[in-house]
Amino acid sequence: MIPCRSWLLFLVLMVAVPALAQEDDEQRVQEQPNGRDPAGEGETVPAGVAIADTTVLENTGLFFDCQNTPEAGIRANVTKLNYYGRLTNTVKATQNGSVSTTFNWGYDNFRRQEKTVETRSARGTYRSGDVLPFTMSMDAGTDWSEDLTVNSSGNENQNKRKTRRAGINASKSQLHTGPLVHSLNAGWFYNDQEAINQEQRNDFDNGEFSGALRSGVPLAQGIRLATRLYGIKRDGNSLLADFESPSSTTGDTLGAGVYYKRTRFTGLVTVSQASFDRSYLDYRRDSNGLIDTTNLDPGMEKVVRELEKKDALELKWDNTMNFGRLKLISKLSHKTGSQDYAISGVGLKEKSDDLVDLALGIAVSRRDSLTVKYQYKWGWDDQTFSGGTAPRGKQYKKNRDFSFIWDRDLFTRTTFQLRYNTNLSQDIAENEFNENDRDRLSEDLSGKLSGRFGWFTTSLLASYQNIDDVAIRATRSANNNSKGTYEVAPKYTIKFSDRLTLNQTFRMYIQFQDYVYSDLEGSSKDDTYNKRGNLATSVTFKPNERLSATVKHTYNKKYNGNRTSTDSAGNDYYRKVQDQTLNRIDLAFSYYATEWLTLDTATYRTKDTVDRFSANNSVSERYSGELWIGGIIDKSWGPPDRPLVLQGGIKRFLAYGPNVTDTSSDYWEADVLMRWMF
Amino acid sequence: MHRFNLIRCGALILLLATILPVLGGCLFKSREPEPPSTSSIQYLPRNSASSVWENCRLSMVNKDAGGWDTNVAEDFVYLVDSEAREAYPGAHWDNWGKETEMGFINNWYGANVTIEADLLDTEYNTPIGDGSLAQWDLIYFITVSSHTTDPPSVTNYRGRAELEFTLQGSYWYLSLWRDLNGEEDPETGNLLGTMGMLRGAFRP
Repeated sequence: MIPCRSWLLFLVLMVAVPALAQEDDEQRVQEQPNGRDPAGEGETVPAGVAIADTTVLENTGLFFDCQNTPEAGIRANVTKLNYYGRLTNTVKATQNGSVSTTFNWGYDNFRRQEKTVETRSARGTYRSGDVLPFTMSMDAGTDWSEDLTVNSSGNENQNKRKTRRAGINASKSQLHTGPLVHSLNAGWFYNDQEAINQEQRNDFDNGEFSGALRSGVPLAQGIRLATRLYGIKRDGNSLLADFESPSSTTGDTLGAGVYYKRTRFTGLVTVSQASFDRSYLDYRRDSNGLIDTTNLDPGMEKVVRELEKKDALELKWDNTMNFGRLKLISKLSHKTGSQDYAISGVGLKEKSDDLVDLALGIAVSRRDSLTVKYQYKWGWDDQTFSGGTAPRGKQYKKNRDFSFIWDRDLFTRTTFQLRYNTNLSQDIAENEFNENDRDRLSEDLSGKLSGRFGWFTTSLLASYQNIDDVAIRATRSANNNSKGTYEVAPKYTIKFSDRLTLNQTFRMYIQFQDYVYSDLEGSSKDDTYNKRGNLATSVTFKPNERLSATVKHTYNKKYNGNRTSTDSAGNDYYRKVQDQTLNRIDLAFSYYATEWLTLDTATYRTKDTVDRFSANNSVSERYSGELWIGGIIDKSWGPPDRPLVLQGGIKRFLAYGPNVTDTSSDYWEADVLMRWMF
Repeated sequence: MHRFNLIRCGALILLLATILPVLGGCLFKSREPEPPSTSSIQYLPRNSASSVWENCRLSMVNKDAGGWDTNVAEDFVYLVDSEAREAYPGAHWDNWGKETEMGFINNWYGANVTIEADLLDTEYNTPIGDGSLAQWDLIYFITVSSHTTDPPSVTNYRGRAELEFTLQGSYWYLSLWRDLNGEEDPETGNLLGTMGMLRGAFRP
């Protein structure tokens, strides 16, 4: 482990090296007689200018091309105000090396709650480039944050965290042993955290070593075998709520795959296995994994030394077959995993997931194409509670999905598309260990006719959807229902000229909801219907190259009703219970003032009228609206290689209506950044 | 032309071979349910944000995953608070959508637990909405008793959250749940976790 002072020294060096390098280069320039440029081309350069302009420095030293980029910005919206600043410094080093440092600062002030978050970070990196026979990088960084939140009782909670990480990483690629090609990577890092939340400490420090080996070999033309091996080991100490203990992590991953690309077949077959062992301090948890420090027996500690083991295995086969007009894409996978806790009430959790995904596309003729897709996902999870002798029972989740799309060019400029989709999702509890067995079956059929005739485009959509919600167990099935929806939606766009466009969409929609057991005693659910009509009209007008205006009107009419009776012929009768009308007008202007400035403004006004029909009829009317004014700026000053840039958008919002609160009636939305490079 | 006909015949055979089993119900047929032994859960019609939130509560206390599925939008997003994110760093917090949410609900409801929920413990702002959007700010209080031990271990969750309900098609749905911070237990004064802690523990 590195003592704290060592990595602090490392960080100081990371910061100092670029500055020293710049000083060296400046000194070299100053040493040139009569202010001549260092390349000795004979051009006389005023000494003062050469010192300030680092870009003319020679690039043959150890360090050169120092670039500083200070940035500052502000982001504001209805929820928070964020100020931030960043200073990035990069210096190129000899033989493609580099040194960089970054400092960040941020401050969030939340508008809808009493909360502030301040963050600071510093990071330094050195990359060796081609100096060594392998690639080496050294990193050191620290992150600090403080979150102060005041709850509704007026009590403040401080959540403060400071993390530090420093270390070295080395890698080498293109290592050949016979036909095998390898790449090697090894890293060593030191991690440290000091944190406090709800007055409880959560600290740790550890050393980390990791290594990875990737190898590949061509088996035949277009077929390649690749393997990977990764291992990591961490060791250190941790402190949680005044309890102290050693902590460790050991992990490894092993993977192999065959990748192929032949004339008609492309794909891969892979297998990977990963395992992880962790020993750490944690709060005592119940069988659901919830922190449980209030229901402890006398003498039981609230913090425990947990031992967690994780294992995972994945097999995958992806394949694409291409036979001219016919293309079949298939994906098969199988995943299993387990997670075992020594102390937590969760105990052992196991899971398995399988997938079959098939997609077939056929270009039947120049006018027709057909796509058929089928997907089946099934999986389960199981749990053996800590101290339990038998598993809880598997909770299965199955999902089947089938879709079919037929596209056909009916006439010149007229196309037709038919879509069908059906989906069945099922939750199944083995041995009925819970009552939540449930099926949802949906079917969706739609046809769309589209025409494009130069200045006039139009489409007509007709669709039908049915959803069955089926709870299987007797304790849950009383609410089983079926929803049928019919929809017709024509739409057209007329482009009168490049300056004037009219668009109109009409949507008519009705949904019936039938409760399967609504006639049984004990069930008072009424079957219902919902009708809705929607007409949206918008006009876009561009009187000149700079100004654009859009006017939009939306009209919505909605009825809800309940079934009252069914006659002997099976006809249902409904009673209207609610009638709602929504009218909304939108108006928007955009003005392109200059190359770097665009001004925008928009407003809307809504009227919502609701009639409720019952023993006491009622009518309510509500109005709401909003106006915002803003602009977008993108401006830079100075030479292209050292610009001062100002970018951003800013808007002021003014709103009224039933939703509007003190914080949303008048606020700014902004994202403004100022950056300088030198 | 002869080749085109072959392809067309092949496509037709393939189509029939794949569609017929599907339409015939061989692969896509739901199981036969048991007739109900209990009265139905009295879910409210989803014609307002408050009905949807009450349905979420009914789904929790009855452990009815179907109720949650029906009331949560397909584009549902959950945004975790910083405490829960820190406590469960392995969860997929940055893309927690409907599928992950239903995985969590199935795991939670499937566990041997009973749930008590007061989802309107403290209401800061729970407007009726502007016709297609309602934004709420509230504190909820949930008690989970795990029966795998005797006596059961009881854990409380109390959190402040921002919610968004949207009108999609003909129905209202819960479409955004943003946990802001944990709140204190009114009885003990201990700082409790949000539902992010539950989501982390029962994540799929």
